[in-house]
Amino acid sequence: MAEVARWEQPVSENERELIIQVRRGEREAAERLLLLHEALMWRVCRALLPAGEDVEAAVQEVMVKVLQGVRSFRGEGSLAPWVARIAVNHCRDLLRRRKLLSFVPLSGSVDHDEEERVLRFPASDPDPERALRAKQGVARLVAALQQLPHRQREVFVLRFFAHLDLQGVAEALGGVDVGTVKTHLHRALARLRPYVLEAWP
Amino acid sequence: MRVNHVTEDELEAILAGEVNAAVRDHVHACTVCQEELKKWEAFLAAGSRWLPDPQTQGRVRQQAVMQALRRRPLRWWVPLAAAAAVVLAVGLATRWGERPKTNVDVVLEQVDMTLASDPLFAVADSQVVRVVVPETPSGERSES
Repeated sequence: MAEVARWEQPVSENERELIIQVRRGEREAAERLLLLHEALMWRVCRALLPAGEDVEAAVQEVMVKVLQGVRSFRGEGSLAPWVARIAVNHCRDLLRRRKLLSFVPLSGSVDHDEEERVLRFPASDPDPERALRAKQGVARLVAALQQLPHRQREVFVLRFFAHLDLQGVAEALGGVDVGTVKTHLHRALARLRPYVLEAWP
Repeated sequence: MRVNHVTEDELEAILAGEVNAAVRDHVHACTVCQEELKKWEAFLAAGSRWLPDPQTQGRVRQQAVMQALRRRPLRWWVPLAAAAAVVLAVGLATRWGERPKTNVDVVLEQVDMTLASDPLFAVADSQVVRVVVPETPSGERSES
């Protein structure tokens, strides 16, 4: 069963302390704060940006926005939905700049050249066979997510890869209704379901 | 025991670890649903491999920190405003220093000079003494 972290807790003492230190310009605190939400930023950017987009540059820009924005952060809840919101908005800006946001692929076929192009991160597994399977898994996942309209993809990624709860997803999407999040999630699962059943080994 | 396989809503709850007892019982007894859940778990697990190697993560993090916390360069108008403020302050100070002396300043200077030369004469010759002991006008003599 997929393990899901919960984000319903208020901002932790650790986060609060780090925020104060970052506001004073302490570099070590800034690194530690980023480390807490680093995986979220990488996964959101990786899932929402198209192949060929520089994910490293995007993540770095998101991190800079987080550190600059945290100086005026007044939220009561955990930073996670707020960080996710910055990442989602940054990805939207990049896609808008490239006029890709309205593009929704209609075909369900998987472009294998595309699979190769999206494998930008080196596999860290020393076993070559397992590393290859992991790469293929990631490529299939990216290809499957490309089947979703952008908003459904955002909701799915925030729920299952950023591990936000429904309320957190709603916050990350700019305060939309939780019911709207549920609807998008329902549609995303329905759309992905045949793909997962047929194409996933 | 229900016989329908899991719906999308139930699937979402299962994948998020929030499943209710009825659904859990069905999944435990249903090989079709178990098979589907395994595929979903493999699908989602692929997302956990989206992280680059630790060196790349560390480099990107450090560059972001350096970029975010470096001192911002002064805006073009800040030195200009500072120079204007200095010019204004110097101008005001100069004007204040050159202001004409008032009557009070002139009188006080004369008093200081007089007192410095002969304090007794100054007291005797002062307007104060004349007021206290008024001079007798000429032609008005005492009859006694």
